[in-house]
Amino acid sequence: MYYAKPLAKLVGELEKLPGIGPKSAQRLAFHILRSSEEESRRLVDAIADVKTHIKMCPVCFNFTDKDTCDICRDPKRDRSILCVVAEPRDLVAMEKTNEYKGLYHVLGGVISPMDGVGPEMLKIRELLARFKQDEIKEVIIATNPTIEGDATAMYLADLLKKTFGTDIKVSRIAHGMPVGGDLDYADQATLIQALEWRREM
Amino acid sequence: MRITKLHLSNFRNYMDETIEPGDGVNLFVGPNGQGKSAILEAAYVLTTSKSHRTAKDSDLIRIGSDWARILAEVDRVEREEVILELTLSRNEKKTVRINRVKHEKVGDIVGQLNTVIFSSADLEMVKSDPSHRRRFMNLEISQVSPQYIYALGRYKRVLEQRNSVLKEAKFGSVNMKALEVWDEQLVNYGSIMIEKRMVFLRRLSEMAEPIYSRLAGGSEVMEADYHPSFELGDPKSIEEIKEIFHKAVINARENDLARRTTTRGPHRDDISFKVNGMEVRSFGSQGQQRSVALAVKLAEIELLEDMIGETPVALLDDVGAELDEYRRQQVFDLVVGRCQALVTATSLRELPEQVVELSQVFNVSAGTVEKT
Ligand SMILES: Nc1ncnc2c1ncn2[C@@H]1O[C@H](COP(=O)(O)OP(=O)(O)OP(=O)(O)O)[C@@H](O)[C@H]1O
Ligand SMILES: [Mg+2]
Ligand SMILES: [Zn+2]
Repeated sequence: MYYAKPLAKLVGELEKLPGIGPKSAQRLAFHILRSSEEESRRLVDAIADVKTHIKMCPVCFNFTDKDTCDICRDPKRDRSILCVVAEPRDLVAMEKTNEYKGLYHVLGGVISPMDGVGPEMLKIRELLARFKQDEIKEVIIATNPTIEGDATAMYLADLLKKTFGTDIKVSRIAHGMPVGGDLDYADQATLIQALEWRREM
Repeated sequence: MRITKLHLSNFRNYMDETIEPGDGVNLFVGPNGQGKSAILEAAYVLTTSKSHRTAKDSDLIRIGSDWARILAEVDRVEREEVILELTLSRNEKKTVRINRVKHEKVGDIVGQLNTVIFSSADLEMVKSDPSHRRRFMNLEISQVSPQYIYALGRYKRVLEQRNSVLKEAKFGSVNMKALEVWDEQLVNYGSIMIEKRMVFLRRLSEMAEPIYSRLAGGSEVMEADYHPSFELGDPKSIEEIKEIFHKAVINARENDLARRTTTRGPHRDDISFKVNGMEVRSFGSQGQQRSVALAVKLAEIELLEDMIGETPVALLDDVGAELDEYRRQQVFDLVVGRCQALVTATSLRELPEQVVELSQVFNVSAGTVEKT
């Protein structure tokens, strides 16, 4: 490479970001280099800010900058229904539909033995604990329709049924989802439909 | 179905070459190493998204170039004409375009262009280990069934996940729940594959039988039987397959744990080719093995024709060197006047005269192709 050292370092860091190849990294690095002192400062601050101020909500494990997240504290939300998602970005996708008014639980991933992720590494114990305090009556499992998402849904449905029997209704969004697709790529109409057509597990 | 235009850019030893094959037999003639097989290979890559000669995509990119592209215009009877494009790159993932529209999944190209290739690898399919025969089933069924492609992709991944659980299991013990979530999916996707393979082989066997008799020219009878990795019997529905497969998976659990791998399922399937009831892989003569391989390929042309409503493109690589005169004649009898064929030869003398007369001849020399 023919970059001066600090520039090479920046390109190298940018390249590590998901979806950024060598070409894009170079373009971004040159853009930053050309931007004003103030502009680049804002970028640096924004990055530092998320790292210091954003933490996990201790209830649902979504990202938040408060002690407990806005959704968990919102008195208008329906506390009898809980939507389980794999990642915070899936929660964002569900929220964008403006259809779902219940609470969430973020697992922090899906079961994937080849990546060393077993059920014990997800926030499943924490999920079970929520049933002791909250008045949850229904759980909607909204993991992606990948094989790992399906395995995780099966695992959860089984566990919930074993633990609570018929006291809690368990369903899975399914219908209309693009095959092998991700929740955060699905368009809103599809997601709304998927939510409507959820099936019991 | 026919390829009306094939454009190769930086593919193998080609820089930028356009070939316009005719409707019937097209002969690509030239000395060794000039790029004849590469033309057929390009058509094959558009059929399956992969080469039949190498597992490394980068081998296909011309040395000194960073990328390669194959583009074909395909005329079809049952469906609209289509433009297929596949681009390989040393740094990025390969991409496909169908009618100029980029597709996220490379596998989307499978089924657009249907071909049957005849090459020296056919004999391997009959003689070598079962993985060759499973590959054969996967490639052929994928050409006609998107559902199969889907099930196969999911199955492979489920298998990897399940094997990871088995590998991590300490002293043969494992959290059963951790295994069960994968069992269910293994059975679901695996059963789709099993059902499609059963039907495919039943029909292939029916069609290959009379062709074999003609090739062997006697009273010999050939058959192709499906051999699953567990006792399947004669299931009447996919539900029944699922039930039997599921039982087999449960019964094999201890064995799986001991071996730390999944021992039941379509990834352990095989085909048994028999002549007069005897396994041809172990007991067949060279000639019988060759005839079986050829009968299977010729049957495939008929099977594809039956399923897609038009003939696939036949790709005949070096049949002059691979087959004796009689078998060569049989191949051309079936292909000429029926399919578009792309045929390679080092010399026109290798081919039947009547065929040469009817053919469009192209001279191939160091990555250039000239119509004569
Ligand atoms: N990636 C590549 N870059 C450049 N040249 C290549 C590449 N791969 C293969 N070649 C060369 O391209 C030629 C194409 O070989 P091909 O197999 O098509 O030859 P052929 O005409 O079928 O020969 P034969 O009669 O021996 O079968 C060979 O000379 C080979 O060395
Ligand atoms: Mg060759
Ligand atoms: Zn919360």
